Amino acid sequence: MKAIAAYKYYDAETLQEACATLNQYAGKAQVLGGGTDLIDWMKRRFMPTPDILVNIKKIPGLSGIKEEGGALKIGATTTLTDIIENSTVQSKYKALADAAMKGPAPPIRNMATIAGNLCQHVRCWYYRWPDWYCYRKGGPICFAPAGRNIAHAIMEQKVCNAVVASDPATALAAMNASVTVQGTGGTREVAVKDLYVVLGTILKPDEIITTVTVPEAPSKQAFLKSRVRNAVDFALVSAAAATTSKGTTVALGGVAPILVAGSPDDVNAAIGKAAPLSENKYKVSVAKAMVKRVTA
Amino acid sequence: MGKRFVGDLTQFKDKMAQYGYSGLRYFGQRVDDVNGPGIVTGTIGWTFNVSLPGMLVGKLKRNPYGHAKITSIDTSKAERISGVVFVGTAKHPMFAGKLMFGDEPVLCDKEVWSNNDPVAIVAAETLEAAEDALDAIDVKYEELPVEMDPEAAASPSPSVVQKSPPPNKQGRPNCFTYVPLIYGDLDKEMAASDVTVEMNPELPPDPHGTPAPMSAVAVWNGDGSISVWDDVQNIHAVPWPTVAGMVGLAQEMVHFHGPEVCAGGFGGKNAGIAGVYAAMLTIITHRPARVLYDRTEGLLHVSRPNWKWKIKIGAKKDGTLTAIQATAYIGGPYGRFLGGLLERARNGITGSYRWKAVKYDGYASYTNAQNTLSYRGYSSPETCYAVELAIDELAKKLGMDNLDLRLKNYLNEGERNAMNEIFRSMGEPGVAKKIREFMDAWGPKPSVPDPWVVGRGFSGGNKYTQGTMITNTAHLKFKGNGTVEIITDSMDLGTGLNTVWRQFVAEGLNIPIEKTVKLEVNTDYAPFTTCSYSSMATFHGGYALVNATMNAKKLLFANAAPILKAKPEDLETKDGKIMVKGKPEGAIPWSQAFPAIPGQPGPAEELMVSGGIYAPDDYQGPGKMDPATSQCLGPYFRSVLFHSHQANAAEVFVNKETGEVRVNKWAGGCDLIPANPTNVEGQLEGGSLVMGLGTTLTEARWQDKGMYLGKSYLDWKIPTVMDIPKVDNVDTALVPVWGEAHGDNPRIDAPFGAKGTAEGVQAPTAPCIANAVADAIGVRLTTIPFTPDVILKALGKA
Repeated sequence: MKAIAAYKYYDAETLQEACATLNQYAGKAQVLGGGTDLIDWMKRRFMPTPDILVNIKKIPGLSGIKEEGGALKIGATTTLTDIIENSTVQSKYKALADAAMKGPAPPIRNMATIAGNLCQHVRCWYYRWPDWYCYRKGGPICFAPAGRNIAHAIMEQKVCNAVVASDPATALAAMNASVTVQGTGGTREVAVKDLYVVLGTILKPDEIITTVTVPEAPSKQAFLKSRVRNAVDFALVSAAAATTSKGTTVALGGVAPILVAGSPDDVNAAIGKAAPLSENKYKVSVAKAMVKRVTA
Repeated sequence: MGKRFVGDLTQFKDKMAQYGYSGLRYFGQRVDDVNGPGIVTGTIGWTFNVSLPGMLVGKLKRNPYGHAKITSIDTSKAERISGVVFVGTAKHPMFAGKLMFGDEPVLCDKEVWSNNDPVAIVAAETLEAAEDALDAIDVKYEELPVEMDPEAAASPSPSVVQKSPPPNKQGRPNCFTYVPLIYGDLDKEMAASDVTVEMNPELPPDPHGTPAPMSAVAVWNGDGSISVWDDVQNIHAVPWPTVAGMVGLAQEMVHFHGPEVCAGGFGGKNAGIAGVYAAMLTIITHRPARVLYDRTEGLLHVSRPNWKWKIKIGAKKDGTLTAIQATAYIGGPYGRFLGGLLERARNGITGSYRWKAVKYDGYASYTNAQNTLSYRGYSSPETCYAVELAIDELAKKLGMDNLDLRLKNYLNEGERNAMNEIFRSMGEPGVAKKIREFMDAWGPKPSVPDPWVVGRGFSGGNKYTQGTMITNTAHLKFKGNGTVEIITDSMDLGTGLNTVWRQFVAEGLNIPIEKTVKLEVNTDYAPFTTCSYSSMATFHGGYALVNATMNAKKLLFANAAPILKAKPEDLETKDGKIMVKGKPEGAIPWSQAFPAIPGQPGPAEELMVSGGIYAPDDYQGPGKMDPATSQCLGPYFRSVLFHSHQANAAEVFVNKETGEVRVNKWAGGCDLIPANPTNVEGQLEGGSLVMGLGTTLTEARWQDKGMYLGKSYLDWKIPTVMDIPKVDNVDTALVPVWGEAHGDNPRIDAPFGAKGTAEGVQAPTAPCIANAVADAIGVRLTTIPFTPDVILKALGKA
């Protein structure tokens, strides 16, 4: 058993309240959704414990799945189980249901929210333990290139070699989905494929994802995930493809600190330029094969 | 559901009668686990459920490095944290000692040899205060070079000399144990071989990953004694003397309590080290204290050591095995039980096959790998892995069916093996044939869609059961109301031992199982019984229990004979009554036959009976082992009591694009007379299939310069229910064997012919899956686990 260091807790009742509180704590607050990643992240004490957790699950209207003008709208606090069990998602957005299904175990899926899943911290083992003061934590270097890197990035590495941990993100990026982000200054729309930057997301300290929008049901779609264990395991490589009126988009997860998404040719070209680390060259051939499979 | 084969036991009925059985009424039956409801509802007597008023939380500050010098430890900030009661380091005389084999500091103060070594201890009112205090302890280290490779560590000129003074066995500075086995003329037999196979199998560390991490509670009593509750596999052999010795109390001043069911052991709870720290804290603070390892400590505090093998075997054209040369390198930061592993590896090499010559050299050396302890099978799975991989390759080279090759070379009952032991209780041919029969019944390999490919593998295996260190005593307390209480050491590790032992007593006395009760295992009244390790609790403890039932019947029948006006030998018991055989109408309750108390009218209200065996090292007759050759000298002298044998078959699917491996079908069996077939099938499915699959395919152990990376159950990946074959695709076989090769040595009794199985079932699993993967991809892999990166590298894709 591990104990969490002391922190304050705030139940936000409106988005404005939540954003204002986040703004007030200027980076020393964390948004609490299902808490399935955040609580473990805090228990391990490898990053400073936030001053406050802002719970957004009590904000009315933030949970639920609906179709609106041909688009699919998923509220931020909708759980992965809700997504998996939703008949519209199952019939029209199967790749997303598959991605949500192939993630955590049922008890976690019952708690975890879609926005929390997108915003979860990376699983890099150097980052997740206090024993290594890595670049992502504010330290001088990333330990992966000279260390153990079987699960790390093969492209777009720059200063950190951790990979995006979310499977739904891969599926959503292939579906050209976007997230609505609200802050103290108003709202903005961000494409899921642009959500991630090398050391996290584009969210500012006062911002919250409120809605995930899939603009159009794909006419053809697929999601594949390779992993060591057949359940309760993060992707070594995940791949999704979706064909819509705008063409076919492919997205790759598990290969970079950001999402790699674009046309099949773009993504294949990106794989061609991959720069694997000492132990993860295998990911290049897996990625190539999986792109071929999801676009077949 | 797949096939469930249980061999016919009635053929052994007459033999069992000699051992006091009552007609297979309870023995050999599918009795539900008596602890099932308690385990499912969490109300069983787990050690971590022990909670005392005012109990302190004890936590250890652990070292993060593989190898480092400690330059300073500052505990001043931690001591000032509210709720912190005590902070200790090795400077405190209580923590200045050495654990286990005398080379392992209770708390390190100068140097740390492995990740997770404890450097300070905290006792606090709450877990939060304890963890805040751990964070506030400032330890400064100077990193030192690490050696993780047990072969490099065993070099005559190693890059790092770990300990001072160097143990220097065989001219190898870091080597602390060397074990040889020499039999026959190796050079001659190897030269006379038509075919040879050489390979270097390797099994990296794999932690035990028990369902619950170690925990212990200790309380200081007013009279200076302490009471300790420790989640251990046994109390008498190691934990009790270890705790008493480390805190400087006479053993009788330590009241040691075991759990009702140990929350998973696999060998990792043989020492009870958490109890040492809890005992120390309660003596210092005079308050109850709990030490409960968290999951990370649970994965780091014990592991299988890294095994590196160099193996070469030879055979004649017709498949007759000639010679085997095997060298094993293992290592760890402390001696612990590593020397014993090398000794037991000899039994793995000589426990199945007839060799004309054997040369084995085992080296255990200091490395900076994770700390170790006995691990499920205690070298049998690791040794069988090396041997069975080589046998599989040999069959391919010879163009022989791999079962035919094995059958041709299995030892016969009564034959002497390469350690000069009379081999008995040999059921391997029967098990191997049965498992092969199951595999053949799967039909042709299924066609699978590209990019998947299918492979099938087979392996035998063996596991010794040791006989030394055995003093077995069991007490039975007969109550006037017809119930019998069982008082012994040895813990049920979730294996069903509590149920099986009740079956033995029920069978011996011919009473319903519900009329038997196993009392808490504690040192206040439980006698030294065999322990739940080496797959021997059923065999040895069962022997003592059956012996006690026979002693009891002798006593009861002698007293009942005058009342029933019959000879004692004409009496029998049934359901708590004594009667003339076949005449239930004149039966008397056994309480009437309890001995009388002098000066009191009528019989006593309770009867206590003991039974057991004492088996010193020469339990198989006088003799000794030649340490230079490991040959058993003496007509009946043995290094082990008996071997159990196993076989596995598996069908795997391998994805040639992603490197993923899935086990689609599996069959596993063992040779024994099962006390409880359901329990043995559970062992096969859980211990062989699930645990063996994990160590072979998913449980990679990642470290960087001796700092472990996979310290959570997300990174150290045990199989889930989604990783194992469907129930319909799992076959099991229990093939009865009754050892006949007794000679005229009397010490060969087994309770109703039972022998242990437990950990042995894992012996054939890794080689079986490895052989299946080799069949699927056409490339022989020798280092487990076969994670996707390993498979793709073998296929030239990484």
